[in-house]
Amino acid sequence: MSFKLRSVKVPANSASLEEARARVFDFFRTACRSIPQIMDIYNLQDVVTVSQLRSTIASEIHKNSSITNSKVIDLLLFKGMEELSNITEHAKQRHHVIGQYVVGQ
Amino acid sequence: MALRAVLLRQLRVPVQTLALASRKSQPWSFSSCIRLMSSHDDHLSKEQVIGRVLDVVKSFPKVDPSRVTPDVHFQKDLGLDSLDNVEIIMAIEEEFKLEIPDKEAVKIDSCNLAIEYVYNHPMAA
Repeated sequence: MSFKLRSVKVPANSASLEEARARVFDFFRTACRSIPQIMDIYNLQDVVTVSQLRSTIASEIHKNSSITNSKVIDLLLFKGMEELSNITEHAKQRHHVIGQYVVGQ
Repeated sequence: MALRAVLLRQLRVPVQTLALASRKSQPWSFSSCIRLMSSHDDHLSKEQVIGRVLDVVKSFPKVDPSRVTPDVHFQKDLGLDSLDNVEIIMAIEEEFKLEIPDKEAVKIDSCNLAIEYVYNHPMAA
């Protein structure tokens, strides 16, 4: 199991909710900036637009918006980073990405 | 090596005189010459920036387009939350082909600030 770029960072250990919120926004921005690369890898140009994918990522983050424990948020961020790494390293296939993030949103 | 240096020094002289001669002979003023290869004169006008920023905000799915004005506040007037704020800023980044650093992005809270930031950015396209 090899992650290339993103797992090099030290695992998050947020002291407060504010720090966790800042990390969530950083993760969101990283994900949004890698959307063009994702669309290129999986040839999603005709299937979905960049803004739709952005909204999908935002709604996934919104699903967990009621959590107040910063350690739980850190864990969710770790899982999100792992998912993002898998997608950008082409460890998934086109039908996975379409099924999980395009259909049914 | 010394011969080469001497030869090169000799070669330098004709080029200088040629440039001077051509500059003197042309009737153009100096100010019209210096911007020939410049790529910095295609700044966006303020109306263009305002129009495009408002379009980006209006096409955001959680926003009511009729309430969008150039001085609307994202969280107070449009009822969005902080993540929606970040999303709008990312949409503006995509529209104007910019990359806004995190420190500046935190401060952009309303349409006003967004328009100002984009208008003052030299790389806005």
